[in-house]
Amino acid sequence: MKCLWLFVIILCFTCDAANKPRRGRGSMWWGIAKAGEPNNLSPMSPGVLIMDPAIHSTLRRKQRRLARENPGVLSAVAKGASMAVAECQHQFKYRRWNCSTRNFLRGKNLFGKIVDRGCRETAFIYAITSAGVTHAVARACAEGSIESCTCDYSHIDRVPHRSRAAAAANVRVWKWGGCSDNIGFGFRFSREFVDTGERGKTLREKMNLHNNEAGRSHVQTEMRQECKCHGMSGSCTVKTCWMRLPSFRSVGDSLKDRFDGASRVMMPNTELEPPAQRNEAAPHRVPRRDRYRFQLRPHNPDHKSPGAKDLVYLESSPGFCEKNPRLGIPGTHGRACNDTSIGVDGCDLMCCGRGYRTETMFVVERCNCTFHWCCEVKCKLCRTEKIVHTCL
Amino acid sequence: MDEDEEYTETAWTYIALCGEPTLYEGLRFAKDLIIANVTLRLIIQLVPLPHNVRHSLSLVIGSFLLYHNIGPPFIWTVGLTTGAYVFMIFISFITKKWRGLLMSISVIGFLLLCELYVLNPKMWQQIRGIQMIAAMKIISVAIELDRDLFKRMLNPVEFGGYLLCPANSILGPWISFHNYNQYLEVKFLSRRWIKIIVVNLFLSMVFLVLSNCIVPWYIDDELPKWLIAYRDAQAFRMSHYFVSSLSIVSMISAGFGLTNDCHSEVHVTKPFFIELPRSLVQVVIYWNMPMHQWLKNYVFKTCQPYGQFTAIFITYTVSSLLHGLNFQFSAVLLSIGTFSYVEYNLRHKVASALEVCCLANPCSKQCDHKYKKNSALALFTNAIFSIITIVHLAYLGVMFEASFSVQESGYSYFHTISKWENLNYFSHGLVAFLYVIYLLM
Repeated sequence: MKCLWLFVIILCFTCDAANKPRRGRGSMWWGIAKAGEPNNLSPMSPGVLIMDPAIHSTLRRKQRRLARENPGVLSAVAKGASMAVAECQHQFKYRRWNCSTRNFLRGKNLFGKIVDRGCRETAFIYAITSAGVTHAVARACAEGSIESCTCDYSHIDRVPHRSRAAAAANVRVWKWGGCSDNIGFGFRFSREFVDTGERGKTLREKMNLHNNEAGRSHVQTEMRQECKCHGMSGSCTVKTCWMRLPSFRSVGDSLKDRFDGASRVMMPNTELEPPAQRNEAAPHRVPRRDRYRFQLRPHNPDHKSPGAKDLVYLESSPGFCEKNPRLGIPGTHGRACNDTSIGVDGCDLMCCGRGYRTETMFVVERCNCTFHWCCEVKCKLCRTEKIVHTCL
Repeated sequence: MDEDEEYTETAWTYIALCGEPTLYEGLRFAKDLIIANVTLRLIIQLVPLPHNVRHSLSLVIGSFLLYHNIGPPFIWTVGLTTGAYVFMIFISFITKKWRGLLMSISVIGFLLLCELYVLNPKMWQQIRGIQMIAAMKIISVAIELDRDLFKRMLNPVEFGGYLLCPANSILGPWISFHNYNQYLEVKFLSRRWIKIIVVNLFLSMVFLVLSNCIVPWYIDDELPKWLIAYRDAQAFRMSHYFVSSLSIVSMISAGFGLTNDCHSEVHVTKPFFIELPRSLVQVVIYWNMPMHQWLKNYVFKTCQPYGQFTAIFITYTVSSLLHGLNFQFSAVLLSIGTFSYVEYNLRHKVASALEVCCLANPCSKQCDHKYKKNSALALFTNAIFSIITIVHLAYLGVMFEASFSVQESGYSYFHTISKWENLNYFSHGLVAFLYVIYLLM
């Protein structure tokens, strides 16, 4: 119970801290990822409902309105955010920066001060969280747990996301049957929810918008259409098709690829168009979509301009070797490494040349797993000897 | 623990994401079928119409339904119908005895020409089933004309109505002209009628979801290749059950295949006898019963005077040519032919040697073997033959699992061979081995 109150108080602080100049302004909602964690919940209350006031305080006004208008969406967002955090940590398990999050928010951002900088890691965080929300909302929509997500059969005439998601247009050619336009809802919702506060005026906001958008289009383009023929003796009289949402792991994998090939950008000298007039009081009058219409210029003029699915960043990453409280970097002290690898997970690179300690441990783990029909995997517990290397 | 939870959860999501649009499209297709057929039935039922008007009603509604479903390629079905009729009238002047043979050759020749030279593979795959049904109907009419089963030549409206009848022109099943004519009469309809439609519709949707979503999912891709082959073959069989039960829906909703007390008398397939087969011979019989009937009645019996072997050989040739000039179908059908031949004879020998009731077909009344069908020995031998059949079915059905583009545009030679190579031609080897045993016994 104590934890809960602490959490509430902390969350209240966080909204005051949200107005730092360089930080992405719409990023405070990430805290929602921790909302479902058991240590923050009172044991009597099932679900996230009890967290409502706390969550609400981290959300911006528009996000609260969205949550109110779409009952059930908040738990999907929370799920998406925690899925994104888990995926980020999986993808960066063997790198110096391992996507660590803070257990308690302490008035700070969930991912720490790294978000204040505009480096590759920040780009990845933005993209994966935005993708997580798109994915989770689309899925919740398909499962019917969001009431306002209706089966919209008129989607063929309506093009909900043109412009930068045009690359994903190929999935829309097929007439979608049933309620499978969930990805459209997820996409639109993610734009409204995740991109709140990113006005697209400064370069940093443009970077965030671009990366959020990239995360979403990865989810969208990886949706696969699967079809099957039916008819007399193997002919194709009836076709049935359905869309398959990608596993979030494959979204994470492709975003990681984009992370490795992310492009460094700068502001174009001449604006393509003046920033759209934005009026908080009447958001419907001004087409908000305009904020997505910008082109970032590569830092190195010889490089290609970044595409819709590329990640972009503004400054080079700090070294993640040593502890740096100013940047919120924990350093790689005590991290496990692989002594035979020559990659980033190898002890040489991971420990930044400080050397490493080798220990022999006994671990109990699952082994001899067998598949039982249907849908159960049974394993034995084995005690195995393991050699563990940790950075000094 | 966490991983297991994640596993079941994604499985459910997957099924939900697959099942919903699948059902939606399946029902959308069924809706058109039902609407067209119920309209036909209600008009026949409520408005007293002369004989020919009824046939033309069937012709018109059937053409609409066909056009609605396959679009412009429906011209090929209409063309086949018209051409066949004109040709039939023409050859009736020349011969009264060889019409069946001539019609069969020309219809099958026409289909092969279409397949090879005229239509693109995608369009051919789309209309192949429909053309097959039409060809079967034409050949049956021609042979029945030879056998003098018609008092006079059919008029164009009767012939067109029979061929394009909405109840069975799209998904089958084949019915004879006499049955068709008789089904067009006013029927006694009760609440049972709706019940039969709903039950079969429900069944067909279950099979559809099984085929699209559940069967491909429940055996994982990492498992041994025989399990995967079994799974893929089963998905194909489920698709066949879906088509078959939907064809019953379309028949019944047109009021076809109903007995006088409003019971259904159309049987297309028996999933139970195929999923748990007694023998490959039984699978062949129950796979598509009207088709089996057709082959037996019009091909096998016609050729019987020329000897048992010739008759069997021609039956298999006709049946694979009806499927088009495709290596896969010919190979599968020929394999089924040899497999079931070996099985039939081997079981005959085993039954007489061990005096066990283990023939390919269950003994009809009283089996005169020493060990009756419930004896332990009989159960054991039959179980072994069942397992062999299940293996054969997996081996033969795995062909039809393919990427959508292959399904859509037809199976190639390499596709077939690579699938069998993957399974090391196991069934062919097994049958050869069984044949050697048969010879030695």
